[in-house]
Amino acid sequence: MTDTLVPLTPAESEPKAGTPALALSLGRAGLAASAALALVSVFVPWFKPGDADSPIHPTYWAWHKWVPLLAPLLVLLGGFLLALKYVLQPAARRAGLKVPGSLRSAGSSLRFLLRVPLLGWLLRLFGRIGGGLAGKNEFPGTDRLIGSRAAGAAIWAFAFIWLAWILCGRSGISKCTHTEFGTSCEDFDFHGASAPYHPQVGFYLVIIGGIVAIISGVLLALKAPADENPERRAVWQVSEPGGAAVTKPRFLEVRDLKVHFPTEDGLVKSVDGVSFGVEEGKTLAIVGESGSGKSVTMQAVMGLHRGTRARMSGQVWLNGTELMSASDETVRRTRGSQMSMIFQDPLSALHPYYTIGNQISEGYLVHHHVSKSEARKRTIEMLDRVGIPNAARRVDQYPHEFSGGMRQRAMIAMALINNPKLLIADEPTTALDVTVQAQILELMKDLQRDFGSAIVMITHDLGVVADIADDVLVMYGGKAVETGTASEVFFGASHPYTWGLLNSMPRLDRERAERLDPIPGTPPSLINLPTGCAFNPRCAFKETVDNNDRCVHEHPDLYQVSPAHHSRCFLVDQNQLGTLREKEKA
Amino acid sequence: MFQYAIRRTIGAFLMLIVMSIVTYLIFLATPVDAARLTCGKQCGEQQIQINKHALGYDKPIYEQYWNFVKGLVVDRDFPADPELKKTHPEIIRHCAAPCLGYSANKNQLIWDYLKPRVPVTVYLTLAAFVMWMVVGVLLGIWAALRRGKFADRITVGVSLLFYSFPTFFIGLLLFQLFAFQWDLVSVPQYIEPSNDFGQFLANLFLPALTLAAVYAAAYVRITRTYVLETMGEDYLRTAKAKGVKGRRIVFKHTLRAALTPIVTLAGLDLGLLLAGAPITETIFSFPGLGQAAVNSASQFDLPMTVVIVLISATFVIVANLIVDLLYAVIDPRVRY
Repeated sequence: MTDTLVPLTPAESEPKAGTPALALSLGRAGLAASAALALVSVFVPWFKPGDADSPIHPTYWAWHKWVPLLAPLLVLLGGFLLALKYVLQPAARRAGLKVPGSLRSAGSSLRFLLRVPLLGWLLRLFGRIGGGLAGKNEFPGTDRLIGSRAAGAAIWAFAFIWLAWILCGRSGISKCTHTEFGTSCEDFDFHGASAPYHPQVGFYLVIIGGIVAIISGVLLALKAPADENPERRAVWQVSEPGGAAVTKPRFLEVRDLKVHFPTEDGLVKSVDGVSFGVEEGKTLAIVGESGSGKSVTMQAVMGLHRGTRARMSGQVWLNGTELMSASDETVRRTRGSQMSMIFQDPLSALHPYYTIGNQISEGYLVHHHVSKSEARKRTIEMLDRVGIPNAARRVDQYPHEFSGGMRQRAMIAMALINNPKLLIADEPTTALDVTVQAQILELMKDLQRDFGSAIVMITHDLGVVADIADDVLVMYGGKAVETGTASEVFFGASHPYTWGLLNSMPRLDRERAERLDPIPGTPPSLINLPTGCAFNPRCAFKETVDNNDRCVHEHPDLYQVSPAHHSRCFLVDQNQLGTLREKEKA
Repeated sequence: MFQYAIRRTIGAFLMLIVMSIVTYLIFLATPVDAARLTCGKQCGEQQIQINKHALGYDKPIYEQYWNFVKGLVVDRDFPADPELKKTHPEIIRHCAAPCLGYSANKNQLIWDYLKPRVPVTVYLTLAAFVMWMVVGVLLGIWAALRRGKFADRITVGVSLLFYSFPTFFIGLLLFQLFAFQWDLVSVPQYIEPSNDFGQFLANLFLPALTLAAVYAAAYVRITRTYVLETMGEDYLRTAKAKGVKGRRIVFKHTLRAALTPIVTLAGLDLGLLLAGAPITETIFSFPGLGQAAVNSASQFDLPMTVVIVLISATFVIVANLIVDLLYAVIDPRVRY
């Protein structure tokens, strides 16, 4: 499946050294230098406009009051022009609106300003800063980072202009003394006669600082950002070798998902190349120990790691849309409306300071333009639906006034309020006692029947899996070790880790009370995974493979057991399963 | 809730009584003879005795204290001498209840002396409070959002710098830079807001900035810590999973939780500051409570000092009480 999809930018590629890195460090050094200059210039003795040795042309003094207004004016004008060009006019055209002739001609008569060599560049720059400051820098062809770098430079330059105005513009320093006989003022030389008085030095410092700030900001803006984080902006291309049709992704399809967290101890590879898919109306269970990467996988699908230090690559297709390369805004719109998540500990997952109703209806209000009372009505309906008695009253209660099961029901109501097509449940029954567990599972099955949604259930409880799942994905050390339909994985488990999981589950149908058989050892460190098969230090069948220590030296692939059943074990590759099973029976 | 408020108010009242007793005891334990200070160098032993008697310093401590407490409900005369009142009524100072006492040092009734000073301190403190809350909390949020980045380190570093400067240094530095070197503001002096509101604000700027600088620095760090702590909470992940916009997550979900402890601290700091900012008021010669406290303590003006300490204590205790009661409003989990 993955061989038809070729990444344009390899996910592992490091930021390229060379010019960008040089520009980056130069730019940073420049900003630091200009900051130092600004500090120095504050403490340098200043001069008055009337001074004979003043390096400033007298004309400046007539206009200096307006200098600080320049930058904001440029921001306003530039922002207006860019908005006109990129946002308003296309939007109006799409909507079929007629822009009044006068406004249009006013716009286009001004827009030539954008093409004037230096001024046009300044206007665009400042316009984007305006956009960046307002948090809406989504002009096509611009980069968020460029906006922020340029904004940084401009703020420096602005500060310098302001400083120059303040320092140059203050006229005749005088000292006034207030006595009971009245107020008398006299010229006051603060620095005293003996102090060295070098007005030019300070002036040139400000000018140099301003120029350095602008140049370094431009360096930062133009050179640095493009490949700072290749993982985040990895561009994927669906290639069609030999014109072959690309596999149509399933309703939810995750392809080669990797989520790595850089930490001080090293790179934590929480999820390292996981692929799976779910169709609508079906349930997938992801099974594994703590730290196997099952929660991180689904949080990455939800896009919850965006904007953190996590490095991600791979593809997530939901209903035909690829989410990993989509913009933050697109993913935000998808979250909660098309896909939603139930978290495992409802007490900590609910905000303690807001009422249940407030929190649930917020999810509805985010994705619907309705009044608060409508959202409230819908919330009560939903609480009623998930089996909370007296919902109209309980809607105004706080999470701490709910019992554990009720809180989990409220979480489910929150997740389902927009009828999402994909429901992700992260160990929804872990914190609950067994009777409530059964009720919650029953509720989820009911809701799946009603809404036809796909469910991904993250759990370490195999009993839950048997109850609800159509397909199973067993994860170990950030990788899928066994995938298949629930019955195949349960009755024909083909990976020693899955056997271990099944053996450590208490069963009622065994004839005598056996001791539970836990998997020896501990889950592996995700920073330094064991070489070869990640499970090999804990595996009881390492000797059985016995082929020049394949388990220690070679990475196992996912080998096919049956068309819908794969296992990452050399036993499958070497066809030893059958003999093992016969030995077991004997 | 109501019961709790009543209980706390009674507790606060008892606390004030204990405070006043302790203050009386501490100041009577000083080796200074208050009566000796009421007259000049040429003063004879006999005159000192007369003054001592007139001011009531010859009475036992408990009686002096009792007279002070009684003065809160009945009128007092200084000196409390019925015969003198008959013969020379013009010497007698009449102090209507509630009477806080009389300062021989200032030759004035204490409340008359302090009354115009209270608003000065209140204005100064409120202006500083607004400044430091706005700047400190906003910068703190900003630093938390840019955690570990350049902006965060700069903000935290600079706030540490400001936090470690003593107030008198910041005050003098700002004074020099703003009032002299740049000539941005005139040399600050207290102006009644009823006289000229604009001038009042302009003159309030520098002292308030001085006070605010230290507190803002502290609040940047506090806010940053609490916001970072909150940002690790699961319920923010829930909000994100609902599709709530980033800014709303910060300003609704995160701030709501992070501000609770900050509001508590702010209330206590405000109460403490209302008791006077001695250093700032002295630097900028603002006639507030803090300045009065410094003066009266350095001049061994016992009755004045006791009253100022009591006023300060009242502010702190009342602030405490209000914060505790507010808590039930801010945090729905708290029930009394």
